[in-house]
Order: sequence, then structure tokens, then C-alpha cells
Amino acid sequence: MKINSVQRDITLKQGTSGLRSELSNHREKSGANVCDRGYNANYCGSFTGKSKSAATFLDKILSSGWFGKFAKYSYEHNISTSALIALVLAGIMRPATIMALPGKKDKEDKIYASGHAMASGIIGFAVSTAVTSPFDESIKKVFDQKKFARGKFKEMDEKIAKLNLQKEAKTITEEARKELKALTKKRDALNVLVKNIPDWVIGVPRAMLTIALIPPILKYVFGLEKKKKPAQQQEQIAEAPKMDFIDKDVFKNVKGGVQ
Amino acid sequence: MSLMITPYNNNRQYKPSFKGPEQVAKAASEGSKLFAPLEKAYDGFTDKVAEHVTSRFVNWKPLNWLADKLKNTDNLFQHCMTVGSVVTSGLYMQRTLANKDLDKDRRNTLAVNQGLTLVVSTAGAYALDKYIKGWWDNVTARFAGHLLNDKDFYEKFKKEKADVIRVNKDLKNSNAELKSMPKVDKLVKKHSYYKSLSSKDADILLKKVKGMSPLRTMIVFGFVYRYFVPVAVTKPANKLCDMYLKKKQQKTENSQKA
Repeated sequence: MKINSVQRDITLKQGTSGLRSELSNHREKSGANVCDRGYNANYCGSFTGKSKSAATFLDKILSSGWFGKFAKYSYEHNISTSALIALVLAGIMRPATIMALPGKKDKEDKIYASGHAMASGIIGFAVSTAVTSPFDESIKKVFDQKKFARGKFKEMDEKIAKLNLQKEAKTITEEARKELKALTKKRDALNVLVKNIPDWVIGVPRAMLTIALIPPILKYVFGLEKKKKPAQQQEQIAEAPKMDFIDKDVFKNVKGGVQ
Repeated sequence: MSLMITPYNNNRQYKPSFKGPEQVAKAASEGSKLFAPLEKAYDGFTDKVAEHVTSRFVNWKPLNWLADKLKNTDNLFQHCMTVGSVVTSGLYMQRTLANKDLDKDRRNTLAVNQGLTLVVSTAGAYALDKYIKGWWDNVTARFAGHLLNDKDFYEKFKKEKADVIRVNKDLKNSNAELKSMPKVDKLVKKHSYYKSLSSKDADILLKKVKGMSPLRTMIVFGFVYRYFVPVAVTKPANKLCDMYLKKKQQKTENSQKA
């Protein structure tokens, strides 16, 4: 029995090119089966996009655990996720672009603008997350865990549950089906509004806090301080030094003249 | 002289003290014990918020009226984001108008500039959001396929979408009611894997899929408001503002001379 690859490995004269070509021949021959063994670089799944490498990269992201958690977080914490995205855009991308842009602008001004963007992103994220996270948690308790529900909201939930049971048992009438659809839509709209209205409420104090906190953050965290623009150079006439020594007591006592 | 040959003892192999997952799990449980009082306190706090604030807010009449009016809107989340931006931009405009360091003309022009920038960028954000929606739905279907362990889910979604587009093309000519496009979350609910899950796991899966839609809007609006506008729009808008003010000043000077 002759084993080519082993022989080549032992002699170490032919290098690996022969082995590679044999492997590639083997891939071509075995066709689809190779795919299952993971040798083929081409994507074998059903997700075929325009660019296969891009599709594979996208699939890697989508199938990762962190992305699933992030998607769930975005559903539950709208305001905080928005602020997180703003932090990435204003805190990383914007400073990078500002610094990369050509222009006559002073480098220090660019650094200050970048620091300003980063500071506003950080404050926005910190304030939004700190203020809205407990509220988002409470929304989950009311809407998903159905704790603390009361009044009309509780009635609506009970009605939806009742109509859903009818739908599952296939005893639902057309009118009841329409009502179920309308109630589910209203509940979803209520969920979106309850999650996002706090952003309108905290919008003004957050912006004012951002304005107030940016200078100290820039100064003490980034070590940046806005240089005041030089005041318009008014041609001030240099005042002549006053001869105020004449008023001093020593000179008052001196009496000139010829006696 | 005799040599003592000891047989190789397999049991004397090097055994590292690190036990991997066991140790990590133990450390994690100790960590959770450490944070347990804090978690309990936070849970109690959110319970109170839910009981005294959220449950009352949910029953608030104006909010229910608004939800009833907007329940059929496709872009409710976009509208919410826009209102948030209007509130923040409104504050900045008000501060510009109240700025005593600037002369009246400059104040007004800057405030109008800020307002116009907000309007144009909001329109751009809506347009971009709508433009990428179709592609994003496909990405969501891919994501759902991974969650459902179903590689064919994406293809099925695409096929269903193509069918609806084809049918709607024919319906357009006959002026009949158009079929609605397939929604990923609805298809997920019908999937056998989803149905086999416990209610808690099914709820988590559905939240992940539903989270994709607001995520798209957040990325688009964030990109427009926090990146594109400050980098690409503000500078030209300020230059236009300066040009307008210069022209105005020249006009007044000319009229005074005349």
C-alpha cells in the first residue's frame, strides 16, 4: 500500500504544495459531502446573500449570545439603548471623524469638540440609564408579569386573555376577533408610549444637566479647558503715567522758589 | 549495585488546581450572594415604582386616549423619538433666543437655523428608516432563524414576502385591498420550535425578535441626530447663517448711507 502524503511528510523534500493540491482535488471530488465536514470555505447554509463572506459575518453576529441579549435589552429598555447608541456615535465615531477631517481649524478646537461630544454622550447615557432603568423594570412587572395591574388596564388584560382562549378553541366570532385585534394593538401602543414618554419628561433636565456638567467633565476628566476667544483688540490709547508723586506728602512739603 | 526501577505511575500526572467551570460557577454563586441584598432592595424599589407610579400611569385617561388613537400607526416608536428630539432641541432654541451675549438678529437667525436643521434631519431620519426597513426585516428573519434553530426560516420568509409582493401587484390593478407584508414575529409564533418552548422561554425569544425593530429606528435616528447632523449639517448651516447676517448688515448700512 502506498500512502503518498505520509511518504512526502517523511522525506520532507516536496514541501506542502503537493499535499495542498491533493487536498484541493479531494475537495472537488467529494463535492457536497465536504461541506458537512467543515472544509469548504464557502457558506453551506441556506442564508445566501449577495456577498457570502458578508453573510457569514452577519450570521456570526446574529447567532452570538451577546446579540440576542442586546436585542432583548433594546426591546425592554428603549431610552437606555438609544442613549447607548448615541454614546457609541457621539463618543467614538464623531470624535474620530472630527479628528480625521482636514481643515484649517485649530487642533485644540478639534480636541475640545471631540471631548465635548464624548462628555455629552457619557452624561446622556449615564443619566438616561440611571433614571429609566427602575421604571423599565416596573413596566416589565406590570405588562409581562401582570403584577400590580389594576383598573381599566386589568380589565383589558382579562378581556384579551378571555378572547385568546376563544381563539384557541376556535369558537371566536368575527366581531370578537376584531375586538381582540384592536385590544392587542392598543396594549402594544400603550407599552411603547409608557416606555418612551419618560424620555420626554427627562429630556429638559437631562439637557440642562449636560450643559452644566460638560465644562467640569472636560476640565477634570479630559483635562481640557475652552480658551476664551481673544477680545476684540481695541486700540486702547496707552495712558501716560500719572505724575502722582507730586501729591505725596514728601513733595508737598517742598517749597520751591527763591527766598 | 542494583537499580530500582519504579513503574510509571499514571496517577502521578500533573493535576492543575484550577477546576474550570466548577470554580467559575462557585465564584459566580458567591458573587450573587454578595449582591443579593442589593438585588433584593432594587427589586423592592421597582415593586414600589410599579405599584405607585407605573400602574397608575398606565390607567391615566389621556394616555389611554393617545394609545387608542395611535394603535394603528406603524411608526409609533419613530414618533416617540421625534417628540423627544423636539423637546431637547426646543430647549436649545430657547437658550439661543435668551442668550444676551448675541445681538437680536443673530439670536433669531440661529434659532431658526436650529429649528430648520431639526425639521430636515427628522425628515431624513424617517426616510432612511423606511428605506432600510425591508433589508432589516430580512436580517430579523435571519436572526429569528438562528433563534429557532431553523436554517430554512429565512428562505421561507423571503418566499412569503415575494409572494405577497407578486399578489399585491395584481391587486393594484383591480383596486382591491392589498395583502399585508409578512411579519417575522407572527411567523415565529406559528413555528413548531416556538410552540414547544415553555412560556418563559417563548417570551424571551419573542422579545429578542421584537427588539430588532426599535433597534433599527434607534440606530437610524441616532446616526442622523448624533452623527450626521453635527458632522455634516451644522457647519454648512452656520455658514449660511453667517452669510445671511452679513448680507442683512450690508443692506442696512447701504440704506443708512442713502
